[in-house]
Amino acid sequence: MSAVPQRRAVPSGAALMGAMVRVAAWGLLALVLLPVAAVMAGGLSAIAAGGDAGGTDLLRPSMVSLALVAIVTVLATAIGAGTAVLVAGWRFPGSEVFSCAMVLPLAAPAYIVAFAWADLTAPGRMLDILPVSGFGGAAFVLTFTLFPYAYLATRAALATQSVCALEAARTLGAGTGRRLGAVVLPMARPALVAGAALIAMETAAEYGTVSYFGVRTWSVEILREWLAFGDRAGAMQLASLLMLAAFAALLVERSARGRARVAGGSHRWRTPERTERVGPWRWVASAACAAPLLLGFVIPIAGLLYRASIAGVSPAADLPSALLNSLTLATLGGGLTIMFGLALAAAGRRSAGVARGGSLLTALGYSAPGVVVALGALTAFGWAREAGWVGGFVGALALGVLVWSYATRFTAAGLGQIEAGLQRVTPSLSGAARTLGAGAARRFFAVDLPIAAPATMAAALMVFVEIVKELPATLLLRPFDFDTLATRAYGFASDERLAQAAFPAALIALAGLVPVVALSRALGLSRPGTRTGALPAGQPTLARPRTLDPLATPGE
Amino acid sequence: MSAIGMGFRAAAAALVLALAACAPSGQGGSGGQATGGGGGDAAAAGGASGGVVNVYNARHYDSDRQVFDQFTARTGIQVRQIQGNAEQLQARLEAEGADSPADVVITVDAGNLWRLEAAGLLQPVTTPALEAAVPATLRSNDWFWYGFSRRARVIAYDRQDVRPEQVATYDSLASPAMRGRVCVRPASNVYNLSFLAALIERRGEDQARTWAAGVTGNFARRPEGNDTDQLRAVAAGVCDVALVNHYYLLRLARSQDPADRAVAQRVALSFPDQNASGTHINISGAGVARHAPNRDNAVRLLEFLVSAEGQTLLARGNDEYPASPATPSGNPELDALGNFTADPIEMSAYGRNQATAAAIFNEVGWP
Repeated sequence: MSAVPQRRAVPSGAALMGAMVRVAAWGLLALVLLPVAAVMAGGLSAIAAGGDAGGTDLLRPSMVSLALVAIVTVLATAIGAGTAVLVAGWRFPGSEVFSCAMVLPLAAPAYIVAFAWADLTAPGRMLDILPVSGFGGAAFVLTFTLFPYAYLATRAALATQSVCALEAARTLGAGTGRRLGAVVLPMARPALVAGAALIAMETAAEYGTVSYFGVRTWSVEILREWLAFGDRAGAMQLASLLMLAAFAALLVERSARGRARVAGGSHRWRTPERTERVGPWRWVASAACAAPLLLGFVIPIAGLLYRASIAGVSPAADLPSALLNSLTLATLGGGLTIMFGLALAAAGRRSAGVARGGSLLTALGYSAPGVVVALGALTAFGWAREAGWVGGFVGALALGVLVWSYATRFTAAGLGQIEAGLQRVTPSLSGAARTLGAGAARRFFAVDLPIAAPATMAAALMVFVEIVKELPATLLLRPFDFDTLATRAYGFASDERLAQAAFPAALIALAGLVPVVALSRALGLSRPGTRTGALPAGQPTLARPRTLDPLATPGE
Repeated sequence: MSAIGMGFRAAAAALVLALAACAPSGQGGSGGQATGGGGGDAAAAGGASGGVVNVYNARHYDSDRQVFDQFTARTGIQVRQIQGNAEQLQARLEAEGADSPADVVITVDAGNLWRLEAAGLLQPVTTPALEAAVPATLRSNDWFWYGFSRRARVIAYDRQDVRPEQVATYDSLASPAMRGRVCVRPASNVYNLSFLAALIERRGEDQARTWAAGVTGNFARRPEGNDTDQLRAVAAGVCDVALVNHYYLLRLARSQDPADRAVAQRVALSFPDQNASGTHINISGAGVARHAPNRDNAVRLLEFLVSAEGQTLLARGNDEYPASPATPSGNPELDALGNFTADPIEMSAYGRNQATAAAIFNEVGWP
C-alpha cells in the first residue's frame, strides 16, 4: 500500500535481503496471529461440522452491531478530528490544556464510564432527567470514550503537516473552511481513516458496556453462546464470523481508498502560525473542546469519586501493587506491541504484500472481543503443552502468554498509526537518502523512524493506555495473586460495589494520565520544523549527511 | 535537547522501573507445582503442615480473602488465588490439562459447578466432615463439588405500592396484575438462567416458557443493569417489583450513603412460594481440581469452608446463608430476614437445563 520506490532494480544481495525480510515479517505476523488462528480453527471446524451455534439468530445482532459501529464511528471521528483541528489551528482560552487533555477519555475504561453514567442518571439520582441507558446509552458512552483515537491520529498528522501547502492555499485566497477541506483534511486522511478504523474495531469488540446496557451486539452473542449455552465451539464460530466480517469491511475500505497519495513538494518545515481567536468564537471553541472531555471523562470519574466519598469507603490496601502490576504489564506489552508494529511497518515498506497482509490480518485480533483472543492464546498454549514444549501455566510463562496476547490484540492499533506516520516519508526523501549511500537499515533508523516518531509515540501511548484498561485477557491469563487496576475495578463493579470500584478506576485514569501528558507534549514539540530549527533556513534536513547517523541527536 | 530524546529517556526509565517491579510478582507466580517448600514460613497459630493451596476463584468478594487468611492462620497453608469468570477459569483449566496448578475451584452458581464436573475437571472427594455439613441437594450426586453457602432469589417490592401477599409467589411476576411493573436484569445473567432452569426441572419446558413470556410482558423497562440497579429502580418508582438475590438489599441497608439506606427502607423482600415448592436458592460451591498437585490441602480448604468457623465468616462476609439451615449464620441482619423454606430441588438440574433456559429466554424475547 505504501509507496515503495526502492523495490525496482535492486542488486541481487538486496533481493536476498528483501526475501529474508519478507519471510521474517510473515513469521512475525504468524506469531502475533496464532491466537486468532486458534479461534478461527475452532470456529471454522465447527462450521464445517454443520454447527449452527445454538440456532443463534445472526441477522438481528448484525444489524445492532452495524448500527452501533456506524453511529459511534461517525460521531467519535467527527468529534476527535474536529477538536484536533481546533487545538492545532487556533489559540483560544484553554487551548494549550485541551491540546493534552483531549486524550483523557482514553484513560477511562468504557465499562466503568458506563457504570458511572448509568449511576448518575438512574432514577432518583442527580442527573436523572435523561437516563443513559439502552442502545442510546451504549452509543453515547462509546462515542465519548473512543473519540480520542481520532483526536490523537489527526493531531499526529497535523503536527507533521507541511506548512507550505497551507500557505500556498492561503496565498491563493482560500478561506479557513476551504483550506481545511481542500488541504488539511485530505493530507490528514490516512491518519483519520486509521483513527476511524480503531474506533470501529473497538466498538465491534466492546463487551462490558454493551452487555451492561442490554444491547445485543455480536460480541454479546458470542459471549452468550459461551456463557449461557456453555458452547465454546459455537462461540468460536460466531467470533470467526465476526472477524471475517471485519476483515471484509477493511478490504472494502482499502479498495475504496484508492491510490491517492500525498507527497509534500518541499521539505521546508515550519510551525504553522496558530490563529488567535477573538470574540465569541473563542468561547465556542473552548466549549466544543470542553464538552466531550466533560462527558467522556470528567463527569463520570468525578461522579464515581463523589459516590465513593458519600459511601465512605476507603481504597483497598492492595491498590499500589495493582498499580505497579498494571504499569509493568502495560510497559512490557506496549513495548512488545510497538516493536512488532515497527517491524511490520518497516517490512511493509519493502513489500507491498507484507504491508497489506500486516494491516489487514492484525485487524482480526483487534476486532474480536478481548476474551476471544485470550481464549485463542490459551488454546494455542494448550497445543504447545500437548506437544510437550511447555509445562504448567504459571509464573513467568503465564505473564509471557498474557503479554503476547496483548500484542495479538493491539498490534493493529499501533501498526495503523505507525504506517500513517511512515507515509509522510516521501519517495524523494528516501531517494535522497539512497543517493547519499544509506543502506536500508540506516534509512529506516535515520530517516523513516524520526519522521514517524510522533505517530509511533501516539501509537505507544494508545497501546500503553489500552493495556492498563484491558480486562478480559488479563483476567483470564494472569498468574496467581496478580491483580491489576482493571481486574480490581472489575471485581468490585461485578460485585455491584460501584463505590469501591471508583478508586482503581480513577487510578487507571491517573496511570493513563501521566504518559498521556508526557507524550502529548512530545507530540506537540516534535514537529519537524521544531526539530530542524537549528539548521540554516531552507536547508533540507537530508542535505546534511551527518544527521544520517542514527546515534546523532537530531537538532543538536 | 530534543523532545523525542526526552520521550525515549522517560520510556527507558519507565521500563527499568517496571522490570524492577517485575521480580516480586514473578516470584509470586512461580513454582505452582511445589507442594512443600513454599510455605516454610507457615507457623502461625495452627501451624500444622504448611504448604500451599492454589485456588481458582470465580467469586469476586474481598471477604473471601479474610476466609482464606483465617484458613492460613489455622493450618499454616498459604492460599494463592486467581480470580476470574467461571467459564474463563474452566477454559484455563482445560488448556492446562494435567499440568494445571489448580487445587480448588470455587464458583457461584450450581450450573457452573455442574459444567466443571461434566467437563471432567474435578475429582470426587468425600470426607465425613463434608458429608455432615452439606445437605445432599447442595452437592454433586457423585461428590465432585459441594455448596458452601446459599443465596435466595427473591422478589423485592415497593412497600408503598405492593402488599406482601401480592408477591407471595414467583407466578405473581407473570400475572396480569403486574403489567408494566416488573424490573429484572438481562437474561444472560446466570442467576436468571439458573432460576428458569429450576423452573423447567419442576414444571417442564412449556410452563417455564409461559412464565418467562408472562414476565417479559410485564416489564416496566427493558432489562438492563445488575441486581442493585433493579432495587434502586423499585425505590425510585420506575417499577414496583424486581427479581433479585437477597443479599444486595442488606448491603444497601448497611451503606454509609443515605440514598442507599433510603432504598433499603422503601424496598422489602418477599421469599416466594413458601406454601408451594419453596424459594429458589443457588449456591457458591467448591470442588477439588482433577489434577490438584496439593490434593490434601485442597480437601482441608473445602472442609474449612463448611466448618462452623468458615460458615460464619462467609455468612458475615457476603450476607449469604450457611449451607445447612442448621448452622447458625452469626449474622443478625441476615437472620432478621426470617426463616424461609428453600426449594429442595437438586442443584445439578441448574446445569442440565441452562441451555434450554437460555433458548426459552431467546424465544420469548427477554433480552
